[in-house]
Amino acid sequence: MKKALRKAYIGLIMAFLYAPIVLLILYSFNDSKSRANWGGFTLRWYEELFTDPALMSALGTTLSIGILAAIISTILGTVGAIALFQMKRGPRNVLMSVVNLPMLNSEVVTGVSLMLLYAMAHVQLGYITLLLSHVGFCVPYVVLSVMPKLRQLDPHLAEAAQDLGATPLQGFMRVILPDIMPGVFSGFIMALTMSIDDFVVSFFTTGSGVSNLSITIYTMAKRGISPKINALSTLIFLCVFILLIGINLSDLRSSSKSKKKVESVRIPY
Amino acid sequence: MKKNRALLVPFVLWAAIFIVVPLVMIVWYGITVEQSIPYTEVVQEDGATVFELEDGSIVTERPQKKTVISFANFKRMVEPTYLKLLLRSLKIAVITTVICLILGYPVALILTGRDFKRPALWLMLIVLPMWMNFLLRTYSWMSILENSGILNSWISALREAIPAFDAWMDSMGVGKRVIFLYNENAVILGMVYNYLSFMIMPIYTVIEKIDHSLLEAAADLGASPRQSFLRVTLPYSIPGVLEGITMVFVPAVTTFVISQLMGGGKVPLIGDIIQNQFGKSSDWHFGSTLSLLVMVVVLAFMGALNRIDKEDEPQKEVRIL
Repeated sequence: MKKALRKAYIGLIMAFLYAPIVLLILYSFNDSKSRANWGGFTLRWYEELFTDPALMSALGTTLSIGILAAIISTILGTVGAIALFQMKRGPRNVLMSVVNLPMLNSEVVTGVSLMLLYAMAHVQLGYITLLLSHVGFCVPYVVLSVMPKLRQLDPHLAEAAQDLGATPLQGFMRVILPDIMPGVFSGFIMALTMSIDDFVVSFFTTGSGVSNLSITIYTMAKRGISPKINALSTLIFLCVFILLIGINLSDLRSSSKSKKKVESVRIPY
Repeated sequence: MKKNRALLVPFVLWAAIFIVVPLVMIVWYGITVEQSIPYTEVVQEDGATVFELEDGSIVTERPQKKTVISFANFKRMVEPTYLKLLLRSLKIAVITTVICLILGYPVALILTGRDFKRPALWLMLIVLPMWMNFLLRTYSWMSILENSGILNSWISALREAIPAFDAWMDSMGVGKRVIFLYNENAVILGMVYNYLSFMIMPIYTVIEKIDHSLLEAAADLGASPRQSFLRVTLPYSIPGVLEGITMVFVPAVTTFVISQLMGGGKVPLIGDIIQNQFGKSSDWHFGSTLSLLVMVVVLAFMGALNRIDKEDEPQKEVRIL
């Protein structure tokens, strides 16, 4: 009886979390502009979505900024983590707390402070400032996910590589990088999702007509509801769903091969 | 690993330009104001215009505004209008955090119990909606709660179908359309929906790590499930609770998106005012002063939580009498 109650509670919470999404998906197939009634099944909104120039260019911006920002911040963050790792304790702690600052700050403050920076440097707000800002707030997350892997590293490995005649670069590419790769990869994924999901920082640091999906959705939602956005949400939700299920299934499979107990489902947060 | 100082340069440069300088800018803008220099225009005999300043000196260029250090914006900040907004932001954030805690703690507790065979999978399903763009999540509630939205269309269908329900609704003084959106409750709902997972995740992580032998020992020593929850699980889960509180409270106190979409501009919060100062009303100095205020509030809040964390830390060593 108690067990049933507990399960029912989880069910209720799931209903609360999923009801809006399910309704959104249902109504994205509704052939009637107002949601007041059901006008039959249609794919009209999906057609309109893919022919809407504003939304399509925003999607392009979101994806290109996301990928570029993730690549740049992964490189910068990995290099930074290695540099930090080699520092002496005192200066390292100082630099670490500086790097952690943006994560303590609220997004609004980060956004407006970057806006002030570009104004001071007389940089016109646009694609470049948007990209720089995204790199800016993604780097700390990459550092955070690479650092633990560096700590686990055997300090003698690199030395051994060099004793065996590897140049420092070879030693890094062949020995260090493969070992810290999981951290680098999860940093990349985190940066990518943070960038794609970001609204607040983008809002303050873009201009000259460059806008990403979040900003476009915001302006559309402020004007009122459009079934096109329902269609868009449905597609995004499907992508996320398939992606996450895929990641976790491959995890399950690889771990059952090695006969290890599956301890957790990966949620790259 | 051979030390390589060259690696440090790009990273330190990045940290300086994108973290330190912007913060210094906020502080600088926050403690300064623009002041216009009073002057009179004088047209000289040769037709050229010059500008006479108050001290009698004459310049040929039109005097620009100058930036002076002033605490005028700090005074403006404590005016009742802005103070009220800050208090409302804090109130809504606190209510949101409490609701998230009340709803979220049992979820974490149940999932870590023995009812579910694959707790991690269920946790993933609960966090999954967070992966959708957060504007879309908020928007989905708008389309449900709108005056001509899904919920209202269901209610009016019900009223047509059941006359008694219609009469009851009329007697309650409810109009043809129930107004759900554009008030404080709608904003709180939007926040709870968006931030609930931020509360569940850290609590789940902490409870999951509790050594099961502790709970078994408690049971062996005769503790009832309730006692072992109060004496073992609860104290050990405090760090997760505190992290969850931070992760909900900080975005809730500074958001301007949810208040604008769910509140329709009728429930302005401190974040809205900051956003306004950098947009329409364009007073970057006052906006920066308000940002400083928000930073201080957030830091003070986290400092206070950290303190609790240290005091409440469960004893690591086992006491043997």
